[in-house]
Amino acid sequence: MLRSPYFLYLASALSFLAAWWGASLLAAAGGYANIFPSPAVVGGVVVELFREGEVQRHLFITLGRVFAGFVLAELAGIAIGTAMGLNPRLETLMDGWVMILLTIPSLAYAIFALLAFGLSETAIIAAIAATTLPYVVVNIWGGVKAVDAGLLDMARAFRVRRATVLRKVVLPQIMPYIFSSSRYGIGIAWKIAVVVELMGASRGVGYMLNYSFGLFSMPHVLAWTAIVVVVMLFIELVVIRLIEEHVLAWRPKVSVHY
Amino acid sequence: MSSPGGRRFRCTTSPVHPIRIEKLSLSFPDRSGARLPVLDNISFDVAPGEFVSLLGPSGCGKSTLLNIAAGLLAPDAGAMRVGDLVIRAGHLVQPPRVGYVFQSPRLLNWLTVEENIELVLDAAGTPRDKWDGIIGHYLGMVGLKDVRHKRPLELSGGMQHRVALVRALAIEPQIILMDEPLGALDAITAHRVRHDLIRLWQASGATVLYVTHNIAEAVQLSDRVLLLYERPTSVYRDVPIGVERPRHHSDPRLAELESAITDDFFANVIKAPAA
Repeated sequence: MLRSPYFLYLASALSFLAAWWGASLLAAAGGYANIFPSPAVVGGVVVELFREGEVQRHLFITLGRVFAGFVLAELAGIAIGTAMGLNPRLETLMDGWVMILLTIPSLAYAIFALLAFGLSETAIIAAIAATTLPYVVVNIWGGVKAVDAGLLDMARAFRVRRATVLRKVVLPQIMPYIFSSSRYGIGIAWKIAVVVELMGASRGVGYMLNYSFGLFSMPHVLAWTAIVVVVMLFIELVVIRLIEEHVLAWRPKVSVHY
Repeated sequence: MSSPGGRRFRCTTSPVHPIRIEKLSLSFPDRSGARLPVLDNISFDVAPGEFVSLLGPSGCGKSTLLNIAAGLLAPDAGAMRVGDLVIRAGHLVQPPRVGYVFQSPRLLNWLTVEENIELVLDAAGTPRDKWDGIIGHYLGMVGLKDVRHKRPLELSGGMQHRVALVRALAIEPQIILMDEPLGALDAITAHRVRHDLIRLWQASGATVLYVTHNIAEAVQLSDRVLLLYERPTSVYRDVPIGVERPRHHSDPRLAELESAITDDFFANVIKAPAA
């Protein structure tokens, strides 16, 4: 029981809430209850936001933007990363590009996109995709470099067509990298989405965070933050993990002992 | 059950062609950029359906020779002929219907045994309606009918090697290239797989080039054993093994040949370390 991962997840979530609650009690004792509200107060605000329909109005539009930007980045990233991993000349050519794109601050991407596309969905999704893309590329590129050359030789010796080699020999080997880049990518997409919404949207979680900031309401800021965190954890721990377990079922269950 | 079975599925009417290796040379660039010669003007012929072992010290260029035969590498000079097809310096041509068995099984662990074999059947252009019969037939010949829907990591090492053999045979190859296919197996498993290998080859009629550094194995399996020099390699001696099949592994004639080749090999091929 104590070793079950679910128990550990639960224990770590509860200990986080307990630490938060303890800290809020200390803050209240010092007269700072408004600055550091307890989990119960924040939870009450979340319920209220649900009742008023605010969560529904703002959460799903942000989720849609994150998803659109992330999917674009992931698809383009898999294509570019695979091409770089398989073609040494393209790799040398693109190496510098990827480094430059990685270094550009995400805020700069947001501003570029808003200036280029105006205050539009296109701008928001473009900024999310552009920020996320280089991270996906680096991940997939590394994965393709780690592909077993012996299996590629085998496929070549048996004259397996190139498209089939990509689909049946290369793709399954980079699957673990696609999953890790998805985890990483969705996290980055969320962070940039909220920033772009803050700057150039009239709906969305980022907009509401900024609105709560305008009201100087810490409970509302924390409530919106909590909503994002819970949704993110659900996507990461449930959705991605379930797909991963299904797709990578062929891999033996291993754990590293040391 | 398995008697003339191999022929039943043969979907090409093309005969098995002889292989001629003519003065092949090849060098690789080493780390400092200098050329490291691997093959030195090597020549030999292989008759259709013959089982020929290439026996030489580790790293002498045996695997390189197989890669040229598979059309994965082009030589620097010389030619390899398979029937009318010529593989020459500077351009890669893959001869049709080559089955390759590597030292490790090189199966795709995410596909089932059946899907692994279907991958090469599809690439070889074998008609889809014959796949089921072919796969069942060859898996049956090596006693692996039950593992058809399993994935490689669910099988033992010896079973994986047999699946790799089946994969090479399933495309009804004209030429089978084997690169120390039993090198990673324990003695008992190797003995069993060797037995399966000979049966599959005999049913196939294919020409075999078999790379090994195991003298007993070469003598046991082959029609001819080619003794190769150290790198850059060429043929030192061509030894016919005139023992009829089926051969018993304890046949004294085989033991005699093994011992004679061993003496010759260490006296004349392996250069004594400089004193």
